[in-house]
Amino acid sequence: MDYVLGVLTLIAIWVIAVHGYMLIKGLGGLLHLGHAVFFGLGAYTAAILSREVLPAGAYPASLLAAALVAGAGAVAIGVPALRARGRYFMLVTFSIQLAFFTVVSNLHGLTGGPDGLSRIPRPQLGAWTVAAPGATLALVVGLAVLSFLFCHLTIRSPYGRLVRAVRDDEIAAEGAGKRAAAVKLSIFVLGAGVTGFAGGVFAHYMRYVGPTQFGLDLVVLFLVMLVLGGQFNLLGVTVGAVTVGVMIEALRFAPLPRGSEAFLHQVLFGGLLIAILFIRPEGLLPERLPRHRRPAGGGPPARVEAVRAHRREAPDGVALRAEGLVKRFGGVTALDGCTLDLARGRITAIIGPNGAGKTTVFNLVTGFVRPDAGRIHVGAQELTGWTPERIAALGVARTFQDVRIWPRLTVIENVLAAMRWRRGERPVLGLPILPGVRAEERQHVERAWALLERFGLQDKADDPGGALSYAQQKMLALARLTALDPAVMLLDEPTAGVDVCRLGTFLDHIQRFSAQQGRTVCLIEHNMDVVRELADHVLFMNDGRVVAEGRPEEVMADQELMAIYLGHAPVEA
Amino acid sequence: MIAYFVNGIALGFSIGLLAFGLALIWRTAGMIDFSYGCVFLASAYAALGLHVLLGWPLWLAAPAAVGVGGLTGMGLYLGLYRHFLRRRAPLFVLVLLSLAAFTVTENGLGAMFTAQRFYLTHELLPGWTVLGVRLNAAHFSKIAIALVVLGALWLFFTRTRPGAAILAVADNRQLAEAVGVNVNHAYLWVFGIAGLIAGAAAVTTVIETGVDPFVGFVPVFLAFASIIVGGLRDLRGPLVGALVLGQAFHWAVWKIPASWQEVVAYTVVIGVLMVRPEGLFGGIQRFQGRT
Amino acid sequence: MQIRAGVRSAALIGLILALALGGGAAPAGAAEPIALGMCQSTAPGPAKFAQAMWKGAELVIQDVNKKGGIGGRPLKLVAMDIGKNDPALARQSMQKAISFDKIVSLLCWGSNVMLQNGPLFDEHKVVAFAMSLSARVPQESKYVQQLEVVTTLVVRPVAEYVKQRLPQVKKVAVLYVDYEFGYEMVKAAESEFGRRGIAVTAKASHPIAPPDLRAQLTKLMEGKPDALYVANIGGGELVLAIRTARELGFEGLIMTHTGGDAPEIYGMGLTEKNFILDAHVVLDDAPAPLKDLAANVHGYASSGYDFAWISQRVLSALAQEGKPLGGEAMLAKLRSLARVKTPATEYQFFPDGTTARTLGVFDVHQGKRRLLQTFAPADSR
Repeated sequence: MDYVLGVLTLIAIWVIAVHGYMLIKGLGGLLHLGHAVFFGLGAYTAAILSREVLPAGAYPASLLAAALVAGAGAVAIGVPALRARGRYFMLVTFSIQLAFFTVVSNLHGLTGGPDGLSRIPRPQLGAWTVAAPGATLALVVGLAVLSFLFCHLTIRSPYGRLVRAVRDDEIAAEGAGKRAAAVKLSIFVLGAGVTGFAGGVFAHYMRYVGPTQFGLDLVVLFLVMLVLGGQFNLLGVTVGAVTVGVMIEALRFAPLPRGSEAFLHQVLFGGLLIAILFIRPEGLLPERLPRHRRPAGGGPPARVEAVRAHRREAPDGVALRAEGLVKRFGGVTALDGCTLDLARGRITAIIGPNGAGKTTVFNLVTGFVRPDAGRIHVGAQELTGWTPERIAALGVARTFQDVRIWPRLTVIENVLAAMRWRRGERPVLGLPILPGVRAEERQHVERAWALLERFGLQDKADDPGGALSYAQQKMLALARLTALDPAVMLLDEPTAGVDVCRLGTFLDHIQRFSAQQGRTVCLIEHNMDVVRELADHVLFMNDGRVVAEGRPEEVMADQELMAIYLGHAPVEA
Repeated sequence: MIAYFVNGIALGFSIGLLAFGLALIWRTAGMIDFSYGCVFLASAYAALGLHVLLGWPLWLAAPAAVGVGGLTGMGLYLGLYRHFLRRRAPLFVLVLLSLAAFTVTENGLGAMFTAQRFYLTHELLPGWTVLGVRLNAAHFSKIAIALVVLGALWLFFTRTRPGAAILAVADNRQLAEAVGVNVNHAYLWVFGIAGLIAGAAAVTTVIETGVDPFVGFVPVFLAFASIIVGGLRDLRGPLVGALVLGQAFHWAVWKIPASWQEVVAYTVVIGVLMVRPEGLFGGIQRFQGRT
Repeated sequence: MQIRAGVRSAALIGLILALALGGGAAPAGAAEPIALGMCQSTAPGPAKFAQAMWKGAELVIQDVNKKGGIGGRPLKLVAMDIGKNDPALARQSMQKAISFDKIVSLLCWGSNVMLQNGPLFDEHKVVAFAMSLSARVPQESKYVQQLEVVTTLVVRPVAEYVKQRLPQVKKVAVLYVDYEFGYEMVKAAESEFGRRGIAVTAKASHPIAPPDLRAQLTKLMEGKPDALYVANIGGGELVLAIRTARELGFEGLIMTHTGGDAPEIYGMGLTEKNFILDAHVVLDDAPAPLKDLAANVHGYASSGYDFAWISQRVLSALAQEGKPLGGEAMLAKLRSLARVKTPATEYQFFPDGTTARTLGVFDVHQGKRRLLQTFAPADSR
């Protein structure tokens, strides 16, 4: 009957809105409390345009406009708000959510004020007006299916992978040359667009919009659907939306004491949310990580890598030069006029006591920290003051002391996400159904498998990164860096915590990488054996500057330096 | 014109008192506690019940109601948040919990006591004229209590052991735990004190406006807004933020149509968020450090 | 896990559908009740009088059912949750009440709620009695009949009383809620007072849940008005407005509308002086329980009572004439009756959906409202 059809239609609309929420919160990891604003923006846009501007039969145009305006709203909110994260972002979205009602109510001419806009036309496709409840349901369910497909493809695309990487660890993403801020903004806008689309459908279905419909109550409703179903799983949020919608309707039939029904509905709702958070906070359906099949034939990697014998001949030019770097943190001077050159084709090791400023040099050179003074050049290009992703994109990349792989991406995804993509990492345009993207994905997957095999991680390809042991994670970080294929590779204590068995593999990989044409490696190391084995050149740092340099044997034979390093005279081997 | 200024100050202190408690929880537990309104409501209804139903005189019912606030705050912690704080639940979960708790409380009270607004007193409160504007006892008590709380909290944090423990936990919880600070007790203190503050704010507010299930929302939201505006570096931040908002609310009505009153307030809040997100005096962390 | 969850949800949906479809069939032999719908609200203002109206209606239902119902069928009251006056939620609740419980008439409020669901009433032919005051509502739907007078008619008695009995009042300031209702009230005040030579010299609005009203009242008092008209929703901010106004030194007349018809207003010592409102008149010979409700819970209880009473009156007439007991026939009958006198008060229902009803101008004396002057429906029009 009409009532049931109406309920199902409204549920389908909410499903679409929650898809958008899932993109923002589940995929993008953004703590967003203003979701009803996007829904409302879309609804009002559809209402205003279809009443005043659009000709009859322009239903798709109305919905598209709704999505676009909601997306524009996301840009307006996101650009300033996404500069910071976590609770600050949540507060901005929350404040805007609360302000939405007041602003909309006050713009009488545009939005009809508190009384809203009525007589919104029914959905009309060309000459066909969709009026019957059954037809409307079919239409809306169709749109929900479309939304599901779109979101599903987006999640599984290289772009979706990139968003997840930024969600897991923004800094590591920047280290891999990805513009984290732009990625976050893009998923925010995409999610808002999907929700705005839902708002447009809502407007044409309800045929009325008013400010009271888009308040905090609606946000709480969406949140319950998101959390109940499992915010990291698209099917989960769909199931959550349907379940909650059905539950609301079922409550209408429950024998509650008259006069308090409205209150008790909300009480049961809130209680349900608390119960879910206690019992099963991850929701009904957990995150499902994608599986990647090994490409048939296990063929040769797409690029044949020339492996030349490791040589210690004369280097060909300076790959990276840092001059007079100064950095102070509060009262502590970490770097005090540090100057160093990294010669192309060589492996340079930086050694020195703790607090000498070694990691700070890396941070400055890769853009994660701004120098107080000094300059950095790669070839003729000055990098001082550049952002990390720009520097990484140029070809200077690093590993981190605290590893920083992406724990909720699979091992192979960690490698895939670090690669340079031409098309796949664009929102919408990077959907895997497009032919160009599929080809690119295939190529990259082949290369990734080859890399994993080289690093001995192929058996763990589909395991989440966070499930690996510490040493395996370091291996993965190295693999990821190799995938990025930078010209200058900076390794921050790469062998710390790695067991003896794996040590050999690490050294082998570093040597192989360095042996490639034009590649430069620099590592911070405390393990003198590794330094002796690998390094062509050693820089000794102390108190924020380079105090000595030379071949490893020379530096390590210097008693004075070793005394500084060890705190006492070295014991004869 | 002076009237706007004076009234704005009165409103500012009213908001600011509540903001202290909220800031306390925010700084310590790291959570934005939307369920602070539950404590407010508990005290409000307690005051109503004790004074109107049981007939206690106001000078007895009021402190008792404030005590109820403290107990409610601790109860919320013990019953709800402790479970999640122990497991280091993400911020999202804590925020959702507090939102849900508030929804349940607000509507639960509505179901139990109906939505009718009950009043504690029908008389005009005694008052005095300041600069030509008559402020009543509620205003003065709020100002007095706010200043007392400010001073007392400062003493508490700098001179007592529980206070020091709370500061330690607020700064670096893991380290505090490792050093042997009893984190559970610290949180209990925090929620208890914040609860007392909410109780004081509630009683002094509802004596004027009356009690119904919906009185908890706007004061708490305004308290948030003042923290955002003023920052969290120390307790003066929220108070100054509150005073700024109080002025904004009142001066907004002076020249432009009063319907834009709320919009002006929101604009101040969002403006501060965009331009200086750490608050006018700083202290709200912008983002996690790099590397 | 996924499959299990999917099956669970499917089962739940199936259950609901089964209930919905199965519930359509009436059990054999039992007399099918006639259902009347009434809204339930959690919005701060309406929540209070919603409960009063429900209780008022229940008095009638109990009475009628004791006497055997209508044509052997008992009356039943169906609750429709509209949340915080949320039109979308209202649509769902009303749709369920219409399709499922088969209500023939309903009582609701909130201009936006009534406006949005107008098409629903028209489509399913349910008589919708409106307690909202917006003049737009009866214009937009055929099946709406106001139970409460619209804004101009609610201001009129007070304006008339002031003109006749309080000639010293020449300037009025209006404090109104920042909502459609408030805007309409301002226009109504300007029109009704203006026609009688009394100027509205200042107006200020307040948000729905204001932290305080001092700013607005300070501004209004700058022009030194003789009287203050408070147009708030549901009487919520009225107490605060009166106290603040008196605290800030305003000594003049304070006036308000039917929303202020509540015991807490009468219990305030402050309202015993210089305060009038217009409100629904409950006739002296109205049943005692109703008078009790109206005096102690909210004056709107009588409207709930009247809604149920009028519905059963019309339905009885139809039953006697052998006509179908549905909304379409009810509306026709109602409009043909035109003048209806309930135990509580008297109404005049006009074909365009507007209504005139007995209103009185009251002041407060010894903790109770005291009738100063009655305005019969004819006077109101």
